[in-house]
Amino acid sequence: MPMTPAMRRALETCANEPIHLAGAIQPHGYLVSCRLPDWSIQHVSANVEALTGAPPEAMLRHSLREFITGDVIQSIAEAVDFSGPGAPAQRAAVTNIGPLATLCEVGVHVADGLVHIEIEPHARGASERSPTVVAQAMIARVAQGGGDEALHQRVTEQVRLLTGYDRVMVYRFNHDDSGEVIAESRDPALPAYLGLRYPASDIPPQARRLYLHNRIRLIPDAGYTPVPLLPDRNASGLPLDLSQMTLRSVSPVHLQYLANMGVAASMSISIVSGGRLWGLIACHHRSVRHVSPGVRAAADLFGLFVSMRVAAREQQEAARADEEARGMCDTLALRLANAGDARRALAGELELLRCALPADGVALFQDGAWYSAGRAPPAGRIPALMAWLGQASNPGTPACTDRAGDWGPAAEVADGIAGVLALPVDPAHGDWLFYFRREQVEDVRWAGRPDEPFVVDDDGSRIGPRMSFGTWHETVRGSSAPWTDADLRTASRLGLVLREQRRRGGARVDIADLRDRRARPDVRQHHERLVQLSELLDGLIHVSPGESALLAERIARLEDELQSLIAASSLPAD
Amino acid sequence: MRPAAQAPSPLRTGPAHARLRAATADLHAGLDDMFAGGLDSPCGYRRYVLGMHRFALDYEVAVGSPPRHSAWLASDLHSLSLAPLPALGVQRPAPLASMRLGWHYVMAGSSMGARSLLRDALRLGYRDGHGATFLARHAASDEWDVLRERLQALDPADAPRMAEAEAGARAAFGLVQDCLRRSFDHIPLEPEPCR
Repeated sequence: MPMTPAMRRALETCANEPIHLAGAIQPHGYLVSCRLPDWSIQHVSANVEALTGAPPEAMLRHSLREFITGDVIQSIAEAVDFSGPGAPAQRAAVTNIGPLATLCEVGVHVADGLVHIEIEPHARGASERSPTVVAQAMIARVAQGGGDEALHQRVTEQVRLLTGYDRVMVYRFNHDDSGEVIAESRDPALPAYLGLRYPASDIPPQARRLYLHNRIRLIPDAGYTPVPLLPDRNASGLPLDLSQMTLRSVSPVHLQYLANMGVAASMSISIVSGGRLWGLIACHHRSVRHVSPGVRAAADLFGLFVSMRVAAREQQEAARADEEARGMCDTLALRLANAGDARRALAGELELLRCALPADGVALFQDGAWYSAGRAPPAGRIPALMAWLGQASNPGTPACTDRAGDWGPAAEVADGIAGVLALPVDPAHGDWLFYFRREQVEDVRWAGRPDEPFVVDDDGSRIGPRMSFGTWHETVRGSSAPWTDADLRTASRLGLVLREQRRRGGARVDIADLRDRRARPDVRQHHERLVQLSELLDGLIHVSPGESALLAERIARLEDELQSLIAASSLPAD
Repeated sequence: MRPAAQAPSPLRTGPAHARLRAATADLHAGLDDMFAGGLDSPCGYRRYVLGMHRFALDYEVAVGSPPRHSAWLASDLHSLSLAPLPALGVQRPAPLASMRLGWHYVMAGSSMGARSLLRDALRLGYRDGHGATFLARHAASDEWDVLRERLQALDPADAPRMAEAEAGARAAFGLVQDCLRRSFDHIPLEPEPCR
C-alpha cells in the first residue's frame, strides 16, 4: 500500500526515537545509582525524597550507607557479584527503607560503570508464593502434548491466571516485522483480537532491540507522569542509558497508542528464539493494574520456558530440513559426479532439485537454454529475471524475493508465480538455478489501516499513533510465502555442491565414501565447530554496517581458503 | 529579559558584570522576544517550566553543582503532569572557574527575573509546592548577591579570564534558548487546551 511522504517521515522519526535515553522513570518506583566501591550516589529519581526522607540534593555524592542499612547493601552487592555488567535487573532484597520503613522490593543491575538500584514499594498485604514454584506449576500445565496452537493458547491462559490482566495474547513477528495475534485469552466482554495483524512500525526496531535484553516490561498506569532523573547524564556528559531499567519511562507515542486502544495498563514478556525476537506475550488491562516484582519474576521464568519451547520447535524443524537437504545434495552430487557430462546431467535432475526446497517450480538457465519443471515462467521472462538479478544480487551470489513486482510486471502474477530464489551455478558462464513459488492471495485483517499507522499534523512536526484500531481488511496480492532462513541455508548448500561439481569436473564419488567420511570424528568435529561459529554470528545483534562488511569480507576469504584446501586435498596423489 | 535573567540597574553592578551584560545582550534580547507577553497563560507557563528544567539539568552538569534548581523544576513538572525533555548530545562540565562564573551569571541573573515571573505564576494559580516551586525558591534565593560578589573579584582587565566568562555566559544563554525552543515545539499554544 502506498504511504504519503509525511507518513514515511513519521515512521522514520519514530524508528529513530532514542527511547532508552528518556531521562525519566515511571512513578511506581525509585532509582538510586551508585559508584563502587564507596557506594557514592551518582543519580536519583526526583521522587526519592518520598522514600528516604532526604531531598536529591542531600543524597547525591553521599554514600548509600547513610540511607540504607548494611545488610541490604550486602544483599545488593551479592546480587551485583552474581549478575555482572550487562545482565538484566536481578531481585536483590525485600526490605524496609526510609523513615516510614516502607516495605520495598529492591532490584539491581550494573551498567555504565554504576550499580543501578530500582526500588518498588511492596503492595500492601501481598502474600506471594515463590516465583520458581509458581513458574514450575505454570510450566507443568502448558507442557502437556499438542501442537503449537494448543501450546500458545495455554500460555495465554496461564499468564492471565497469574497476572489477572483483561487480555493476554501471544503476538508473533512475521518475516516483515509486522505482528500477528496467534493466541488470546480475554475477558468475554472484550472484542477478540485473535488473527489481527499490526504493522511493523507499532513496535519500532529500537524497541525490538531493547526487548531482546530486557525480557519483561511493565506499565501499571499508562496515564502516568514520568519522574525525571537527577542528573540525567552520565559522567561523560552523555544521556544516561536506561536500556536495562525495569522502571524506564516509555515513549509518549506508545502511551498515546495504549490510550487510543483503551488500554490503561500493560505488560509484555519477550519470546526469543535463536537470538531473535520471535514474539511477545502481551497483556492489556482496561484499568490501572500493578503486577508485583514477584509475579513478574514468575512471568519472566515462564517466558524463558516458552522461549525455549519455541526455539526447540524451530531447531527441530531446521534440523529436519537440513537433514533432508543434505540427503538430496548427496544424491545430486553422486549422480552428477557419475554422469558422463555433468552439465547435461544437471538439466535432467530438475525434479530432484525441486525437492530440495519447498517450491512450486524450478528452472535452470544454462548455456543460454531454459529448462524448467513444475510451475515456472516461460523463457520469455529470462531478460526480466536477469535484470532483477543485476539489481538484487552481487555478482555470483544468491538473491530472493517473495514479491512478483520485484522481477516482473503485475501481469506475471496472472501466471500465478510471485516468489523467486536465484542461485548461481556457474558464475563464469552466467548459469543460474531458479526456484519459484506461486502467488498466495491473502486476506489480512489489520488492527487499523497499515498505511496510516500514525496521525501527522499538516506540517509533519507532530506525530501521534492512529486513533482507530478497527479491523481493516486488505487482500494482499502479488506475494508468495516468504523464503525462510532455512530455505536460504539449503540454497547456499546446494549452490556449493553445484559449483564444486563444476570445478571438479568428472571426479567420481561413491555415496559410501561420503557417509564414511562424515562419520569420522575429526570431520564431525570440524562440522560442529563451523556450526558453533555460525551460531555465534547469529547472536551478534549490534553490528554496524562497517563491521558487517568486514565480517562478510573475512567470511569470503575463509571460504576461498577452505575451497583451495579442499581442491588441493581432492587432487589425485602422485 | 524577564524569564531567564532580568538585568539589574547598572548603578549596582561592577565593570565585569557590565562587560558580561554587553557581551550577551543579543542573546538576552532573543530570550525576551520568546516571552514577549510574559507568562500570561497556562501554556506559556508550562513551556517556561519545561524548558527551564532541561536548562537547569545541563547547567548543573556544566558548573558541577548538586541538582537544586532541577529538583525544584522536577517538582513543578510533576504538578503540571509534564514529562521532562530528554537530554540531547553531550554536556560536559565547564573546565575553567571563569567559564563556570559565566554560566552562574545566567542562572543567578534569572533569579532577579523570577520575582516578577512568580507574580505571573501566582496569578495563574500556581504556588510553592504546587507548580511554582522553582520560581518561589529561586526568587527568594541570594544567588544574585553571591554572584555579584564573585563578579566584583573578576578583574575586567584580565582579558583571558573575561573572555572565558563571556564564553560561559554565551554558552548558557544559547542553551536556555535551545531548551525553550524545544519546549515551544513540544507544547503548542491554544486552541489546544493546556492543563
